[in-house]
Parts: sequence; structure tokens; C-alpha cells
Amino acid sequence: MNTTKWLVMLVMMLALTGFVMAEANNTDTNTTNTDTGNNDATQGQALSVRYDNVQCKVTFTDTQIDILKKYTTVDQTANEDKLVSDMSALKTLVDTTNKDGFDTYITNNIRPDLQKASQDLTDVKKNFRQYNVSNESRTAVITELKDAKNAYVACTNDKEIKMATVMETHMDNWNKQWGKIIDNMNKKNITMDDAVALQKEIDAKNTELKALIAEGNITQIQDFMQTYHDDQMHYPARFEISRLTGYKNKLAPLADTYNMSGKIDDINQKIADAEKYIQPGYKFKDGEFNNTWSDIRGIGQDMKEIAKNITDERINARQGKIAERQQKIDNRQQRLPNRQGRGPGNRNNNTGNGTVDSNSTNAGGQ
Amino acid sequence: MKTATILLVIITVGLLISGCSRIGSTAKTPSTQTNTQTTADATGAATTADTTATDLTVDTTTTASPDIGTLDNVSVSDELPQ
Repeated sequence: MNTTKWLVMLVMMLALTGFVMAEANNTDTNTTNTDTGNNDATQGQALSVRYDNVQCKVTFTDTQIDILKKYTTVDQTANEDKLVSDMSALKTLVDTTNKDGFDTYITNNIRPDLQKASQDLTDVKKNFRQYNVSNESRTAVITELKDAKNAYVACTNDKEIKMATVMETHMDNWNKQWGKIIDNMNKKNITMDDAVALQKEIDAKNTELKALIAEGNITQIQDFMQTYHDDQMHYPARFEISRLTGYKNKLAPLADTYNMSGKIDDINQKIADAEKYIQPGYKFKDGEFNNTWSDIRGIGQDMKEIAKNITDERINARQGKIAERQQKIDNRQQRLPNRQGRGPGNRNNNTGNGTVDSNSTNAGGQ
Repeated sequence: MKTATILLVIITVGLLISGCSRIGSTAKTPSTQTNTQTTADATGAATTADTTATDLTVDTTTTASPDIGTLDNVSVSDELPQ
């Protein structure tokens, strides 16, 4: 093999390496789109407000116990100690921003312990006359309990407004983060129409919530927050499905080129199945939330597999073309010695009868 | 002939390198020339493969969990003595 041929092969291999590296470069991990912005901050704020809201209830309960203790022989020390212990444990979960742990502790500890203390208080109030309390004392108890209740209502109303404020900030952060993802996708010529509509929907809800907060109507805020929270459970799934649909629309023509349209059909069906559970107003039943997200992750994996297969097909096709070109070059190289043998300077050495005089080779330059 | 062959090789390699660099830089401007259009389409595929491979990771601890919970509505005793 002569030097020229080696050189050609070397350059071709370098070119192929460059192509493969270019493909590999395109699959570098980019975590920008999974950045959740200030999610941790608002999650932490929400836990603090939720803790303070529970504290309102515990304080109100403790205050009532103290009031009744002054006029009766009732002893609720056990309940008080339990609530102190509960709030200490709950505070630890807030400090570590452990939402799942917080939710579980509320369900398994706070609620039953508060209900037990409340039931004991109710029993005392129902049988208040058996403690032989004077009318003056009874009036004093009622006055103190009313004051305690007013303080409790003010305390919980304050937390309703604070929770609504955190919610508005939280969803605004998410919306902005989703906006960045949409922008990045647009730069890659992938459109997310449903996600854009979702952004506008969230913006409108935030505007409405801000107005309710400004008005301070607690009942309206509570009603709005209940609906908003139900919707909030759908939003991320709606956003992800919009993103998956964008990818699918981009990949579909390429998949068709490489005979993978059947896989796109499967994805269409899976997306349609997942969308059934994220319609506005639909409330997830047992297990449906997790199942929906499992399906969404599955669609993402399918999509990645299709993209990988397309990339592999493209690399194979490119390698085939390069090999084909190499073959042509090889063929050309093989013909070169014969042509060189004839040499431009030997044209006049043609014998005139269609043959070359072998004795005249390389004599043209002389 | 030898010079022509070398020129042919240089042009071929130049075209290949040009094609690779276009894929690497994900060129966006479509061309009216058929061969360049093919490269642009291929670039689109590479871009899609990129985004699909990286952006589709659905992580339940991030995008799937914006739920901040609700205020607990457990009721406490607030009635007055009878």
C-alpha cells in the first residue's frame, strides 16, 4: 500500500471519528431542564406555615385546658405532654424540609392526639355543671374561652393567607422554570403548545389568588386554594406530557424514515391513556397518581430508545457512505499505477496500432 | 493524475469535516442546495436525539412534586361550656 493510500485512509478515519464524536457530543447530559428553581425554598416555607397552623390548634387546645383547669379538677397533663412532644418532633421535620415525613406525622400523630385532647375538652365542657362552678366563674370561663377562640381564628386566618401567598410564589416559580424549558425546547424547534396554554392558566390563577389575598376574604381563599391544590396535582403531568408530545412530533418523521413509525403509534396510545387522568377537575383515585407518573416515565424511556435507535441508524448510514467512498477511492488508487505507467509524456510513444511500446516507458521527460 | 487524486482526496475530506462540524454545531439555517439540505435534516435529527436523550428524564422529586401540601383541617374543640 503506498503512502497516498495510507494518508487517505488516515484522514477518512479521522473524519469518521469526528462524525461519531459529533453525535456523542449531542447526547451529553444537560440538567438545565430539570432544575426546579426555588422549589426547595417555597417547599420549606409551606412546611413552616403548615407547622404554625398546627401550632395555632395546639395553642388553642392548651389555652382551653389551662382555663378549665382554673375552675375544675380536670387533669389533661397527659394530653398536653403528648402535644408538646408532637410539636417538637414536627419541628424537626420542618427544619429538615421533610415533607413526606411531615405529612405522615400529621396523619399518624398530630391528628389523633389533637382529636383525643379535643374530645376530652368537649367532655369537660358538656359536663361543666358537675364541677359546681359558680355563675360568676362560669361567665369568666366563657369570656376567656371566647377570647381564646378569637385568638385562634386570627391565628389560623393568618396562616391561610400566608399559605396562599406561598402557593402563589411557588406556582409562579414553577411557571417561570417551565417557561425556561419551553424556551429551550423552542430553540430546538420543538413546540409545547399545551404547556404554553398551561402557563397562561397558572398565570391567570395566580392573578386571581393575589386579588383574593389582597381582599383578605378567608372563605374565598380557602375555596380557591382547595381547587388550586387539586389542579396542582395535574400540572406537572400536563407539562411533561406536552413536552413528550413535542419530542414525539419532532421524532415522528425521522422514525418514519427509519421504519419506526409503529413505535410512534405506541407512544401516541400511551400518551392518550395518560391524558385521561389529567383532565381538569379529575381527582386521582387510589394509585392513579403514581401510575400516571410511572406511565409518563415509561413514555420518556420509550422516546429515548427511539431517539437512540435513530441516532444509531444515522451513524450506520454515514459509516456506509464513508465505506462506499473509501471503496471508490481504493478502486481509483488501483487504477493509478496503470495510468502512471502510461504517463502523459508517453502519449507520443503510442505505436500507432493501439499498443504502448513498453521500452519507451518513462521516457517522456527525457 | 497524482495531483488530481490528491486534490480529490482533499475536497472529499473537506466536505466530510464540514459535514461533521455542522452536525456538532447544530446548524439551523436551511440551504437551498440539496446536499446541504440533507445535512440540515441530519442536524435536526441529531438535535432531537440530544434533547430526547437528556430532557425526557422525568424525576418525581423535581418536576413531578410541586405539591406543597395543604393546611391541616383537623378540628379542635371550640364549644362553650353548657
